[in-house]
Amino acid sequence: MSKPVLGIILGIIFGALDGLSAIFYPATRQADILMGIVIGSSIKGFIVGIIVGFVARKVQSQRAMIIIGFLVGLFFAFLTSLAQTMSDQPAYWLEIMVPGSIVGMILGYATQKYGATPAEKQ
Amino acid sequence: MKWLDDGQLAHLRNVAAEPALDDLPYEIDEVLGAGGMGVVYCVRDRRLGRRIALKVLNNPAPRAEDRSRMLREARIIAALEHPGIVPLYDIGTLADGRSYYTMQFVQGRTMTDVLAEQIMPLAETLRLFLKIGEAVAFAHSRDVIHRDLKPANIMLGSFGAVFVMDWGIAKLLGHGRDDDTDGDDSKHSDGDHSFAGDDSDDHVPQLHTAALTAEARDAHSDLPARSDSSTSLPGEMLTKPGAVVGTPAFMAPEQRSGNPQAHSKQTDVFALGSLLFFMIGGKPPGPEAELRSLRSGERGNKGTRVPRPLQAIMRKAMHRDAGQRYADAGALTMDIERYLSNLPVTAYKENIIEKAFRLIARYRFVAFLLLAYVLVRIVMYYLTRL
Repeated sequence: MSKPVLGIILGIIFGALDGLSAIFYPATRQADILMGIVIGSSIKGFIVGIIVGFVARKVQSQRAMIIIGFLVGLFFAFLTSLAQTMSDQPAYWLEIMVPGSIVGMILGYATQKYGATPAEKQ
Repeated sequence: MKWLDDGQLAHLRNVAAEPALDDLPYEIDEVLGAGGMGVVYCVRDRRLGRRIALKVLNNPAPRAEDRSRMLREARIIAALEHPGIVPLYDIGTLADGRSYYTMQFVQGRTMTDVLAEQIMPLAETLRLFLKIGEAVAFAHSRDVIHRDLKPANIMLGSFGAVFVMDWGIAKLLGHGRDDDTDGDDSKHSDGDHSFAGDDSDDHVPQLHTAALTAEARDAHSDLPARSDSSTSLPGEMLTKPGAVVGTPAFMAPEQRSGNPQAHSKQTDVFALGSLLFFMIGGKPPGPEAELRSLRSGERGNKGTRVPRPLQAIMRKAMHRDAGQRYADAGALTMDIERYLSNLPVTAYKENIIEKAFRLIARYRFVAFLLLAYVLVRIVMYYLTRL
């Protein structure tokens, strides 16, 4: 499986699971709110996954991809938190950014290690 | 009249025995080894300015049988073009009528010498073993079996090169005539190699010499080991002047029985299993109990117990029944590769706990990140409840 495709699939799965973890917070336990969080988190995972996947095609270093995954995950988690704050919802900076950056690291590592590199053109 | 002393006589004998290299661009540097059939010299190629190994038959008028044996041996080595097998350069007849062939001169130490000093860490041992296994697997893919695999026949060269040496009693499978009948099985090298791919040890024309001696040694384990070599292994010994037998610990049961027709790729698989045991534990394999208690690690340290999948690999490779062993060296090395990659091995059926630990080991970084994620979530959850 190519790195971008693997990144997208893993991004959606981990994004959805990350969103589902909101079930443990009383404020977001309602079905409609939770569904919105899961969908939003999946979209975030999709975007992070596709970016990480394409970068992994260019970068060959495992370590570099973990760092890139961390930064991309952190950046999009920051945007999500910022959007929440701007829409007058309670702020969950740490609750979103810390797990989001770990998910980014997982995506960076997994796409680099298990994604297929396309054959070089002759 | 002044008589020559012993030293001078020995020198004259050596000079008289030296091959006539007049027509060849070689000059003799030193004798590397001598045996019943011939002598191996280290010679310098004047044209290329490099050292090579030259094997010469002893007899200036060799029997057709000896000549064809040497030709067969050279052809087998020539057919095995692999980085782990010493290449053959040339073959021909000297001016004095003796047959010869030349090979790459390998400088390095035998596995016996290396292991006598230090047992390597398990992962390093397995990676080294893979190189040996790959060379033998290549030979097996060409239907050639080695039949004398043991630490003394593994040469560790400079820059990590590993060579499987001494293809002198190798056999080409699937050919009507079996060359064993002229005593291949009785020939075993003495374990001291400092030269290229093949020694000139004894091709003793009694088929059962090795088998009888091997079994006799088993029956009398208190028999003295060889003392003339620092690199000899327990069990290697001289039975009579000039006749050196192999190391029983590395011989498959069908090899000990003295039936060359039963020799197959699995015969080498047994020897490879024994070799792996020796490389891990620093001693030749013994009964089953020893396999269970085998520990890896540097000599003098307590070491760590060899993991069960690896024990199972060795057990399968050294199974008494050849049919129960790996089909060839390729299958054995593949299982070792799978073990090193934390994949399930064919020789061992793991339980669910072992499988979980193997998967964690295989995906350890992802497992670590997932664990970190879960921990972060738990911490966050309790922080929001405060």
